[in-house]
Formats: sequence, C-alpha cells, structure tokens
Amino acid sequence: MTNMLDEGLEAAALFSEPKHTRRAFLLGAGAAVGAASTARPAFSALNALTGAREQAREERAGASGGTLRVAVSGGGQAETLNPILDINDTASTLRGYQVFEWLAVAGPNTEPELQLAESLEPNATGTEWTARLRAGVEWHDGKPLTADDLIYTLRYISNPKVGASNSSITSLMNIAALKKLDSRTVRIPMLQPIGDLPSLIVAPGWAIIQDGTTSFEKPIGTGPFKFQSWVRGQSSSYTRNPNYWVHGQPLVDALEVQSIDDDTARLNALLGNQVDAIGTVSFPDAKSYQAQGSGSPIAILLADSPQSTSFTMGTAHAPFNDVRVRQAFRLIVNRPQMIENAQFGFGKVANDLPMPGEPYYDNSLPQREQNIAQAKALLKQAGHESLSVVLNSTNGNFFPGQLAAATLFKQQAQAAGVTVSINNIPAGSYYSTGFPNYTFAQIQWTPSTIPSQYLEEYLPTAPLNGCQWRNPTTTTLIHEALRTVNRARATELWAEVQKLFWEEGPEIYWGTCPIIDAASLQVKGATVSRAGTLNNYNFRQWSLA
Amino acid sequence: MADSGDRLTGLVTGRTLPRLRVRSPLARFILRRIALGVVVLWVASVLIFVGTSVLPGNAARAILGRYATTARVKALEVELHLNQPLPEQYWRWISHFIRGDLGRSAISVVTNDSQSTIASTIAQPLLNTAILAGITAAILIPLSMMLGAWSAFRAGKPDDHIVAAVSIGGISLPEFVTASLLISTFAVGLHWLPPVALIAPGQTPLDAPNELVLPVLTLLVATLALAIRMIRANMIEVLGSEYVLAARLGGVSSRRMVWSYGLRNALAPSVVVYSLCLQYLVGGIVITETVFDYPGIGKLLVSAVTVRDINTVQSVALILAAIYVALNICADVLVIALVPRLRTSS
Repeated sequence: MTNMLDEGLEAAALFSEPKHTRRAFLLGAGAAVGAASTARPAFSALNALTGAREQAREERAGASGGTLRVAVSGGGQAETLNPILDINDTASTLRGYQVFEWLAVAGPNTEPELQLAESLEPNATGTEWTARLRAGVEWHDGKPLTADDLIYTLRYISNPKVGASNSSITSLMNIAALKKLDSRTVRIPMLQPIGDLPSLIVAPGWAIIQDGTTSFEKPIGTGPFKFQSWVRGQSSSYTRNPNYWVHGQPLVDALEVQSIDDDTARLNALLGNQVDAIGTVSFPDAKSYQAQGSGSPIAILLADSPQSTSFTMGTAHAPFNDVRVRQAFRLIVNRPQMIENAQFGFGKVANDLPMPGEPYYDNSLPQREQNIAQAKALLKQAGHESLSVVLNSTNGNFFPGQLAAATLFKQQAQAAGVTVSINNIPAGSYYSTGFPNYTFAQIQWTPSTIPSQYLEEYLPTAPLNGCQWRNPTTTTLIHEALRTVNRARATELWAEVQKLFWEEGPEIYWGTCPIIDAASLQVKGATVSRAGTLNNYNFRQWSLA
Repeated sequence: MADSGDRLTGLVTGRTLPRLRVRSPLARFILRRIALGVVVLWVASVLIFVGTSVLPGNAARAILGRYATTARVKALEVELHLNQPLPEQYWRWISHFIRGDLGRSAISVVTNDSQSTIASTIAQPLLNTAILAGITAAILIPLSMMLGAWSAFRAGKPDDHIVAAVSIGGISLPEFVTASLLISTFAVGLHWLPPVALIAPGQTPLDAPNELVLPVLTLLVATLALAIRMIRANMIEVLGSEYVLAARLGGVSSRRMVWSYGLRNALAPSVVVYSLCLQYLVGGIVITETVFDYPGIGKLLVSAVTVRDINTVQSVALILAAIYVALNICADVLVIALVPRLRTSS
C-alpha cells in the first residue's frame, strides 16, 4: 500500500503528471515565455490535451467503492444548496462542486481547465465568445445538457434579484443578446471586449443549472455525485453518478459531507476515524503531524497557494493618499518574520502584488525587503515623522494567522516611528461596518486569477475595492489588459500594470498561505490543488484502500 | 396574602382583577409565580430585542456578505422590516411569537427559501439538547444524592476527603478542558468512543448512543461535583440539627435517620441546586456542544449570532429564557410542596 504521506508530499511538490505539458502551452506563471505563444490563446489545443488526459485517467486505478466521508467548516443556518449565491462557508462551496459543474474550472495550478465546455473561444477582437458544450453529458435526472441550460444559467446569474456575486462578470456580457447557435453552442456577445474570459469565470459561484430551475431543495446537476439528502448546518449525503461523463469516475460509491466548525473537533473526527478527510488544519497541528513523518496517523495535504491576507491602505484617507507613506509602510514589513511567526513558517514571502505564481504574474520585479531607514526617510519627507494609525482587524475565522500578523506589524512599525493600535472587530460586523472605506485594515484573498483579482479589486467601482483605489492610469491599463486577446500582448500589459502597483500601490501583500488539509492513511489518490481546499473540492479520483 | 397578590397583578396590569376565590394556598402561590414569570419574560424579551438591535453594523449588509450592493441591502431591509421604528419591529415580533409564529430566519429570506421557518429549524436541535440534558439529569440527580448523602455521613473521614477533592477538581476545570481530556483519553487514545457527535440526516442522537457518552460525561463532571457538594452541606446541617440529635438519643437507627430525617429535609434546598444545574444544562452547554459538534440548540444559537441571523437569535433566546423561568417556577413549587411550612409563611 502506498504511503499516503509520500503521495501527499509528492503532490505538493508539484507533480509529474501531464499538467506540465499543458503548462508549457499556457505559458505558465511567467511573462518571460510570452514570445513563444501564438496569436490566439490555445484553447482548442487545451481541449485536445484535456481529452487525452481524461483517457489516461480512465485507465488508471479502478474504483474502490465505499463511502468517502469528508468534514469541513460549515456556515450553520447560512448554508445553502444553491451553488450560485455568494457562499461564505466551505461546506456549501464543497457541496456545490459535487453536484454541479461549469464551463471551466481552476486546475491544480489555478489555470483554467475546460470542464463542461468542449471549447470556449473568442473572436479576433474579444467582442464575442463562443461556448460549445461537451456532447453526451446528462443531468442527474437523465435529460441531456443543452445550450438552453447555459443560456438560462447566465440569465439567472445576471438577475439582480438573485444577487449572485458573479453578476459583476455577467455584467460584462450582453445577456439580452445571447444566441443559441445549435443545441450545444451559445454565442456570448460582450458589452466590452474581453481577451481572456476563462480566467474570469473559474471561481466558486459558477455552475450550470438546468433550464427553468427555481428551487435548489433537491439540486440536479451534471457532477460526479448525486444529491441524496441533507440537514442544513450539519451534514449531507451523495451517491455516485453512474452516468457521469468521465467514464469510471468517481471512484467511490458515496460521499458524506459533515459540517464541523470547530478546528479541534474536526481534527478529532479524523483521528477518531469518523471521517476520512478534513479541510483546513491549523498551523500548529499541521506542524506537529508533519514532524512525525511516516509515524503520523494522518497524512497532511499541503498545497502552495496564492491565498493571502493583506494590509489595505485606504487611499481616500490621510495619510495614505500620499504615495510616500504607502511606500514607507511597505518597507516597514519584515516579511520573513511574518511568515515565521504568524504562519508558523508555512507559506512564502510575497511582493506586494496579488496572486503570485498565477498565469500573468510578473516574476521579474525584485523582491521587496524590509528597509526601516528608507521608510523613515520617506515618512519624514511626507511630514509624518511620528505617525499614529488604527489598524482594523478581526478575530474571526477568516484567515489563520491574521490577527498575529496585525500584532507583528504593530511591533515592526515601532522601529519606523509609527504607532499602530489594533481595532479588533467581531467577525460578523467586519464587512458590514467600515468596509470598503477603512483607512487601514486587513482583507483576505482566496485563490483567484490575476485578471479576476484586478477586476474585482483595483477598478474604481470594483466590489472589493478596499483601498478606495481610483487611479486613472492603472484603470486604463487594466481595461486594456482585460480586453487584449493576444496572450503575449496581454501578458506584457499585465506586467506594466503590476509594475505600477508594485511601485505605488495601496496594498501590502507580505506573504501567501498554503492550503493545509488532512486525510486518513486509507485514502488513495488524494492530490492537492492551489485553487482550493481538498483538491479544489474535487474527489473524482479519490478512493479508499 | 390573597389581597397582596391581587393588588400586585393589579399594579402590573393597571386594573384590579376580580378577587380569585382560590382556596389552596399552594394554588395561589403557583398562580402568582406564573404571573411574575410572565412579567419576567416580557422584560427579557425587551432586553433581548434591544440587545440584538444595538449590534454594530447593518444587519442586512452583514447577512448579504461582502458583495452586498446598496440596492440589495435596501430591499432586504424592507423585507426584514428593519426600516421601521424599533417599537414597531418589537411589537411585530412579540405579537407573532405569542401566537406561536416564530417567523422565518433572516437567512431564509435572503436565499428565498420559503420552506424553512425558524420553528422547523430549531425543533430538532431543541430536542437534541433536551435529550442530552435529560440523560445528564437522569444520572445526575440519583448519583449526586447517593454520593452527597454518603459523604455527609462519612464527613471528616478519608473517603469524604477523596470525594471532596475529586468534586472540587471537577468544578474547577473549565468544560473544554474536561472535554478535551476525555476526548484525548477515550476517543483518540483508546479508541473506545467517537470524539465527535456526527448525526446522519434523519437520525436523532438516540440512534447513536455511544456518541452521547463523552458529552454526557463532560456535563456530569461539571454539574455532579456541584450537586454533591450542596447535598453534602445540606445533609451535614440537617444531621447536626437538634431534632436529629433527639431522634438519635431516642434510638432511631442510623439508616432510618439518614433516609427519613436527613435526606427528606435536605431535599428542599437541593431542589434549588438541581434547578440551577438544569438551567445550566439547557443554556450553558454551548461549549460542550461546540467541542463535540453536537447538533443542539446552543450550537445553533452561536451559529445564528455569527451570521447575524437576528430573527433566529431573538426567538431562540426568548425560548431559552422561557425554559429558565419555567424551571424556576417548578423548583419553587416543588420546594413549597416539600416544605408545608412555607406555604403559609410567604
């Protein structure tokens, strides 16, 4: 029997699967490879490789049967079976991913991977996208997946009464002019040209629902598991979809999802063999089980991920409207110390830019380091030799190590003559009181793509513009990058955008935080993904020994 | 006595009720206590309402999450009646509550889930907590009586000191420490019992009794100790009283003394202790429910507070207050029933 821990480590070390070949095709994480690309994003090539990969899977380890039991933190009465609403808890997100699927999902390295779409391609200027759905896909009730379902879904998401968070992306589409070209193909005219639509739609909250769906009490999807029953805030059970469009998957017969909010209780459930896998293990627990090596009773699943908690400087307020103050604050942070003390050594130092390691990320910028002398000089120039600020933070469970990072920053800031006092706001009120107008605060970022991130945060009317950033230069540049179809050119533009943000931007990204989960030693095939908890909620190839 | 009672209710309601021709002082007592209980509940409802209303931040915005748009926040405020003046909101809530209509949770309003009402949501958790509390109480009362009486009888001897040390240790440990110790020993260490109470959909805790053992043990450690100490103290006081001394001198056997004289007279003050323990079990087992992930009302309440589901918080808090008041009334009535002397002295 393969040692589960070794498999997990292997997965975390970024693997030897066909994904590497695709990475080369998709230009990977760097801008430097831009010259090698063709004029249009290689999505049809992507499609061919995905098909080949599917076949490779089929020939792999056979089904093991059994019931896979998973526990993640829940949302109590706020849990929902609707995969499209703005979901705030892991359990609801996970449930959505078992029953429903979308045009494309985030792959293990976060780049888009086609799922229900056979192809998703733009015209030459990005003013129209054409989605062609895979053939032979059936809903759980036996009906075939058709273009009508996709059209209905896009309309549903864009409906203001539904209030889906992804309506900010559907608002870029001309929903009224969606055209059904044939039973599997939909033409999506855009209201503004978009060069890379897949990057904007690989996030939770996207799911194709059946034409005419209004209620989600008994959700019907195309996914690997069929819904059986649930108790809100507690647990839900699923059976294997025997007609799943990937032949042979999923490998287990049934799935049970438990909502266990308390970290310790969740870990205990795994140790007591009441569940087979859990999402989110705390830093000290992860460290202690990793230290046990092959003697550990559980396998720690670690995925390097771009998720992070950052410090936002509100540019609409003094003193952060002065770029020198912002630059000074970025120089105050001792990033390695943050990683070591706030995250127990887990994670990597970041360079004041979101989503490091993602496609389009600019690796060429030098890593910023602490420089107290320069920070003091800048503050003095700005007339703020001794500065007092209030840092709004929360003790909520949003992000591990968040409050610790705030406390550390307070200590580090003293050396530069800055006095930070921390305002600890209860989790329930954090986003409903001051956001997005906080002068100085922390915000949490889940894994996302770079176009998505800048669209959602750094445009003047963006929903998550916690820094009140309204810079005309970056706005123009971001719009240009978003609409450029040519991949190489888009990469160059994103590099320019990032350079500006690196020099003058309003946010301090000091580090990323890995995704840390755990599984029992009986689980086989447990790979990890940079994009989300528990392999981005993908259990298709997990099996039980 | 009857006069003062009528006058009291008259003061409260603002008019004089017709004099109740209730003969039994016990019945009069019960009625008076119930009337007072209603007043207490009314005050509690106002406090609960004010408490949830002054929570910082906009409730509608909190429920909608960080993607809330101004339009949706306004629409939700109207649906939840948050735009109306506070007294009107209060009256709407309380008038429905009295009729048994607890309304819908704020979350189900947002998700357009027309099926779930607060009443249907809290029914099972309330039952689960009642099961947990009931089993604990069923073990607590006889066990604490026996151990309390026994240690009172052996007061000053080494056995008594041992029981005392263990009891005081039990009271002193916070529940999450006790729970963690029990889990690490019996669940994770010895693998005798499951560490978390995972109930499958459609099942009740009674279908998985071994999942009840550790939570009940945790609660027992906390409450048993207290009850034993109180019973013991009461028993010692009674056993040292003059009429017991007289009985002893008169030749009454030890056993009869303990049972007929000691325990019965120590019972009345103990009722109060047990009532406190029960109230604690109902409302205070939030920590135990969280550590074991037990699907009870305490866990539901915490979750509702976290997601700012105000409607659920208000209704659940008032129900718990009503249970407390009811337990108090029962305890008082039981004491009066046990001690006839008190019936006419109030």
